[in-house]
Amino acid sequence: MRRIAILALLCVLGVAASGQVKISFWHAMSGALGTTLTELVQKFHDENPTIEVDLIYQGGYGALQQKLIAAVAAGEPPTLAQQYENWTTLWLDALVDLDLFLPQETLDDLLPQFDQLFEGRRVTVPFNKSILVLYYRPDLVPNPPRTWWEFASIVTAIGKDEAKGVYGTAFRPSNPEIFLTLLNQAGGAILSDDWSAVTINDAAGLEAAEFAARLAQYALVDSAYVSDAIAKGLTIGAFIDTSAGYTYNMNAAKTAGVPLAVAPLPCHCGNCASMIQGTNLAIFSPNQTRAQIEAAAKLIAFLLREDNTTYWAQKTGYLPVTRGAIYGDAWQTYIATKPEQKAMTEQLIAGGFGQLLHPRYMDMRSLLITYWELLLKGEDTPKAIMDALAAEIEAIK
Amino acid sequence: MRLPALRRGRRFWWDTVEAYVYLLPTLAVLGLFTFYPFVNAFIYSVYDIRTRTVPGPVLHVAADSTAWVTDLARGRIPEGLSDALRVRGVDPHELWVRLRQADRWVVKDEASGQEYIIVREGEELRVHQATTGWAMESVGWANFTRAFQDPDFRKALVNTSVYVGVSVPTTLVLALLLATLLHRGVRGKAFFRLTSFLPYITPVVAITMVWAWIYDRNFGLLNYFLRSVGSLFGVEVSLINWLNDPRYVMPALIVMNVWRFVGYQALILLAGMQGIDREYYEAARVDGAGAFGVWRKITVPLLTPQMFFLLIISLIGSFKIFEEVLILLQGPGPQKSGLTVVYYVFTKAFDSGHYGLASAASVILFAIIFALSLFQLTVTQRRVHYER
Repeated sequence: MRRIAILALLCVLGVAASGQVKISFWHAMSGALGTTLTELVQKFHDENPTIEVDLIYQGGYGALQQKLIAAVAAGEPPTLAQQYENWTTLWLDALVDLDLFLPQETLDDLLPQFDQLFEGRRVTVPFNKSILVLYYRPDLVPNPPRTWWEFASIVTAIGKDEAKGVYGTAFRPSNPEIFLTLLNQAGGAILSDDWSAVTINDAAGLEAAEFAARLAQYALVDSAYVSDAIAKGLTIGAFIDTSAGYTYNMNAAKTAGVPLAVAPLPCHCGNCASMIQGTNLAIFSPNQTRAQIEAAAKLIAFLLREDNTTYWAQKTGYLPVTRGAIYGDAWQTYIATKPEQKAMTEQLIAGGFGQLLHPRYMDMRSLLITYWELLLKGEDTPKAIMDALAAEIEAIK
Repeated sequence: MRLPALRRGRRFWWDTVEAYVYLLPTLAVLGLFTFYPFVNAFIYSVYDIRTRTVPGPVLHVAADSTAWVTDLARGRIPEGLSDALRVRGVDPHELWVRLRQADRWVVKDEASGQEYIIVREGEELRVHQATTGWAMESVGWANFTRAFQDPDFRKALVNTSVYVGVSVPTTLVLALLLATLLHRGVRGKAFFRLTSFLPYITPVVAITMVWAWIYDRNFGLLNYFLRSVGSLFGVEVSLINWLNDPRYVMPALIVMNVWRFVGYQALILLAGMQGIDREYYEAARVDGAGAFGVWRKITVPLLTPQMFFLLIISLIGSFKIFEEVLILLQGPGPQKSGLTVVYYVFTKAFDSGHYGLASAASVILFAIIFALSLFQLTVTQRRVHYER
């Protein structure tokens, strides 16, 4: 009798074990971000005990990208991974169409700002998203600027005194997303809608370039993060930076003993567009079973659920990516007492836009960095710089 | 052909096998991490490499595509496709759609993992066996042409050449002077020997982090020193943006690496100096030579084997400069003033996914280093004096 009982138990355990699905999830979330992600994955496992998630921190974004490149080349990518849009274009064919696996209500709940199709396919969903906002010193700028011209007049008034370490604003040459935001606000784009023509040097592009060049005369132009400059005691009147840098900027201001606040970006002719940054989630197909892909899709749907995406945003400082979360009671109550997060939320709703999903965007961005730096350092006239940039983009598009 | 008597003996062959067994671990590591990537870089340099789903042999052609397209667009397996694959032993229940586009769809067989791609060609739909992974398309010399046409690569070549051209001879000359001083028996010789060698054994990451602080515009030691010296003479020295001004980035890299390697090279040269037979010096003194004359006519010529060795290894090492750029500049530097060839290769491969182009650039770098090393071996070595 005892033997039979043991046998029966083993059978039950065996059946249970055979129903287990193990998936791997590669990410680049360190510190508090990683802790929050681990908490959410544990909660997912509690709700779905048959799915085991191997959550693997791969280092920073650079390390994650390099490891994904190597894994895809070897035909052994993870089931699920964080990735930027320009990485996704490198291995688009290896990804699964998510709309075949995600519930329709999950997809319908995504904010239109994150509606991204790669060659007509939905292969990613937004995950840790941030947006460009304006950081300003309330002691120097009592009312944050609402238009380009207000922004320019504030920056000009503060001026630039290198000996005293005072700058009207600050720019990082390696961050051309600020220029792309100004370009979008001016009504321009890198390419025409059908990608047939380069339009970055048209009238809108030139207007954005001239405005940036004007600000750059009073700017700290440095490859280091602006938070480093603030922590060192430099005075920066108002600067555009990602909402993901909120903690770093605020800590730097605290270190330097100066106030810092957040506001939506200044707009131009009523256009308050701001570039969305941060990574998405995608599911790889090679070396994965359908059960693993379904399990990964289930995890994505779980992470995009209102309660979880709100929790993720509250704990990490990233923005909620679904309608349910951003307009939900939990988030609205949360931002009612957090003016900075409210400003970021308003910025996203007012005009968040994403990356150009062109297969050569990575090369275009490299060119943008080169010419953005030339523009910021006044190496040539804005027109000459934009024309040269357009010619180089034309050659690679 | 008759083998020499030595080679015919059993002992010789046994010793040979034993030697190879000892060499095996090293050969395995070198083969895996050096020779295999080395050969692959040559192969990849003539290919365009991308991750794609590549169609294989055609398995079926469907003349009427309308019903298929409707089903596939909804993520369903068309009946015609089920039938076509069933006759090939595939269970249609195991098929599922994973990729949908306007003119191509990918279906996976769960049982075998095999993929099938359905491609629209005019009115027809062709079903191919398919594989997803690295697809290599031969492009001949196109990657090499593209590299030479790329302004970034040309800039990287110029920057690297400047770096090598200045840092290699500067390090060697300073090392020779340092070795001479240490050889002459200064007080605390052991201390100086240790301190000059320390930078070489310290991890490059730690060194570079320290130099990043030294070069800091506002709070760096270098600008503080320059300002202090300036104020002694009543001169206002403006703060130099060492790492953010394209004019100073290359000098900053050169100074850091000269400092890093001068101690190591000095120790090699010092060992060489100590190995020179004292009879030469005594004979020179008997002939009335002064200290500088002895150094110039005896020490330096008899040190040429060591100097030649250092020249070769520092030349090769300098052409491969990478970590310092990555850590000190955290990128290619302002206006790409710190972009070196290896950094270019790294970004093209691991940022942009242009593996073929990156391989071509690394082959060009190899060709340059190889040609220069060959030149040194054939031309420069004629001036090397070996003590007999």
